Amino acid sequence: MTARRPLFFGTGIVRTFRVTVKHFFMKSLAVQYPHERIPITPVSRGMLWMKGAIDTDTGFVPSFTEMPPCQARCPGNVDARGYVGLIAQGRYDDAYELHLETNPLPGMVSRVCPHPCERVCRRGEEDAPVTICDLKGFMFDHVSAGRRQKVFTRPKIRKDKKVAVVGAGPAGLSVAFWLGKCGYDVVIFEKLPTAGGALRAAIAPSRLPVDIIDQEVDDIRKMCVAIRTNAPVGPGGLSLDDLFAKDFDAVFLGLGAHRKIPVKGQAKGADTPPEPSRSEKNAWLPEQGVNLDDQGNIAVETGANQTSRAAVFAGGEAILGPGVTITSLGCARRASQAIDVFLNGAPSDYWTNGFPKQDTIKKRYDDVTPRLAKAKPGEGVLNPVHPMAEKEAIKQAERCLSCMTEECIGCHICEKYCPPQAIKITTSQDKTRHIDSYDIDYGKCQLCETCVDVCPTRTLTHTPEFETADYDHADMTYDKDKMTRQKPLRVDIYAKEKK
Amino acid sequence: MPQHKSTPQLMEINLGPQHPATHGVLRIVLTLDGERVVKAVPHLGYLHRGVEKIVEDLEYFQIPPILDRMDYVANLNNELSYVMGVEKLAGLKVPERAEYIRVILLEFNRIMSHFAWFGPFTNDLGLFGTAFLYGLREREYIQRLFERTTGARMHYNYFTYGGLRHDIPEGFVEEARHLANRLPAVIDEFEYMVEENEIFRLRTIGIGPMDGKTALNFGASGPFLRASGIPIDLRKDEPYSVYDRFDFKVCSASGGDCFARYKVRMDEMRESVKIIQQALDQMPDGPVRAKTTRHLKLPKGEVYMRTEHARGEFGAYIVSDGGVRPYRLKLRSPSLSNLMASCVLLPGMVLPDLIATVASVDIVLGCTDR
Ligand code: SF4
Ligand code: SF4
Repeated sequence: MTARRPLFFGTGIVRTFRVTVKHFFMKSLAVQYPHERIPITPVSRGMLWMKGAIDTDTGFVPSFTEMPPCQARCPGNVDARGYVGLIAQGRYDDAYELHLETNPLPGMVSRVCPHPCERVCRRGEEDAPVTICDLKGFMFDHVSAGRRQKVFTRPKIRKDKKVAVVGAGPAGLSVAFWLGKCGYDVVIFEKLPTAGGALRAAIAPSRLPVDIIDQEVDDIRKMCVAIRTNAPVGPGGLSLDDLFAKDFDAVFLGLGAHRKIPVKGQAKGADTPPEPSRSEKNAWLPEQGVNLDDQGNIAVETGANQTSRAAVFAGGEAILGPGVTITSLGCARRASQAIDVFLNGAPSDYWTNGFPKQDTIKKRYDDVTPRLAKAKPGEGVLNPVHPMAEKEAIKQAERCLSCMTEECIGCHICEKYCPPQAIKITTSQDKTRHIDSYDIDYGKCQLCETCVDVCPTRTLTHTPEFETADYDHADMTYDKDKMTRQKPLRVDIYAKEKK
Repeated sequence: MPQHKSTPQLMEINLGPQHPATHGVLRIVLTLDGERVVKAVPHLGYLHRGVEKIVEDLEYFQIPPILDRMDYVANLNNELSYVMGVEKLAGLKVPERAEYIRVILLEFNRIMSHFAWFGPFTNDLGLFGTAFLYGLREREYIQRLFERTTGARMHYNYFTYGGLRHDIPEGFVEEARHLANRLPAVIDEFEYMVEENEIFRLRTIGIGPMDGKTALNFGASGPFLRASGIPIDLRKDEPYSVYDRFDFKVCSASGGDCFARYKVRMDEMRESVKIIQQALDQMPDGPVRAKTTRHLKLPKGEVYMRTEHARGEFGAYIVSDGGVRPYRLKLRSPSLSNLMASCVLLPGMVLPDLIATVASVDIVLGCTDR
């Protein structure tokens, strides 16, 4: 459809020509503008803000909601940053106590774990990963007898409920520990003459010395009413009905999936070899009301550890199939929480009253030197051996970059990668190693956010502010105090991710 | 002393580098005979920052922010050639979602760039003010979407090898769809504003005609080349990313003059809108970044990756010696080739036509000078 319209132009020329109706001027003006539809939040990549720095009191409290890569990668979510930070401070006992919150068997695990945490260690991107697993072993060797005594003591307030744990493997032992900590009476039933499960039966003593197993089993024994060895549950022993008849309120099935014979020269990474006849071994369970899945593992509700029979829980290799010890421990921890909620109605205080995270931020660090060449294999990595010398261990622990703690540790990484070299950091070389100065020159900064990307602690974040003009060049350089000064306008770009 | 009447009075003047009509810091030394141009010699380098040398000192992940500063009107297009080159050499597979988001933003970026060209172009022709503001106003709406998505208004630093630096914000799809839906009307409005205007027509039709063969010989590309009747578009001829999944036309015109260049850009924006709409419909869920390391080491070798920039073929030639930094990064700028091609047109023109012709080429000095 066309129409003829006269039009006037600024030059005074009057012409008549054909215009299609769709070209009609007013029509497009009637189109709504986007800002009327969707409120636009200002998340401009403006000047930087440092949430906190280890030697300034900014009043900013790190949230600790985001896990560092090592913890996120660990199947048991062990707080490696936390205990490594405590080791760096020389607080081995505290490190041990923190460690038990997610893994009560650090001695055994340190000898057999394929340590996936080290593969994702942020420090590995700079030179070489922190040898987290060796530090675990070091920590186990150096914990004081007094603290060991203290943490392996059953709490005074008891819950007056009994739990039977079937199998004294890593999963069973750790469930016994956590439920003991929550105040339950735990009895472990093991069909073999000794406790330790796969770790004792299938790992060569050269790799995992027997005295370490004995030590940790003895520790756990203190958390239980008893560990009954030579007491099979299933064929030739007690049935689940027998256990409930004996006044047990809940049963945890921590049946291993390992073979009994020690295997020599096992492949690295697989600390438990596959068991060929899992279905046969578990064949007695369906008769007792506990269903199995296609692979012969115990079937549990997705995302829970509850089996098809009420008050019977399972975890570890019994539901996962053969795997890595730490994976079993992570599963066992969830099972313990499920049993606790089942028996208690709500989670016990133990799960929330953990070691104060704030304390785990280490106050000393080994800075990554600017323009440091990436270490070649074997270089820059401290000797990964047992036992570790104390000096070496502390040095190693100080290499941790305290990822995601939202406190600047003066690691120099932002300085190293800022393309226009706008950042200048000086750190003292004495024992305290505090950040002497931290300056960003906004005359040079191009607001590219490379520094925000590389900052391991995520203390650096952008703000929607732009104040990059001043009368004096010196005023364009923002120091640590200016950087940590919090303003209400500033937003946290990671806030959305965290939720 | 009496002058010979027959000798032309030649005058040498500087056009630029600080002149509003040179769109940046282009300096053209003109030899004029009255209003008529006898000789025009462009002088480059006023915005030379040594980008190609700077990047040799940077690791691969640090480079995109520097490339943003080349063609600062269509920066995402600069980033693309580079990151795709790195991906090609590293053998990285980009998640589908990231590819789609890239395409949506790239096409918006192209439209933004053409808007930013449209305004000053009409300004140079004497349509002072109104069309200029219209162009920038429309650009602003897209700019806001970009600001919300990438965090920056200009130097986005959003693409990275393996995908994007982070995911798009909430409400992006709705906002992008709304923008895309209203853009055709906006483009119609722009056309309506200028196309039937006497002055606009007189000053563009038949001005600075370029024949396709010369343009090709100069290595011209993009809308400038397509306006001379050669429909070369890398998005169609050498489909990269997911461009082969969209239905769109390669716009070309045969005139080769300023009006043809204007027309090609206008048509091209409509095609971009179509691409955006299809991409928004097809965009899958999923991650936006492939698993890769920060300190990426490229295998020893070389790669040339070219993409269809808003202004033509933008190429990144990466030579790797196996380290974490490029041994050499050569960047091919479409602005430079197009400017060089257009310079053959200038002698013989009257001065105002020269302004119109240079403006119609659409150069960005950050890119020619790098
Ligand atoms: S890396 Fe450097 S230039 Fe980029 S935002 Fe940080 S301080 Fe500024
Ligand atoms: S990269 Fe290191 S020095 Fe820079 S802000 Fe982050 S923690 Fe501090």
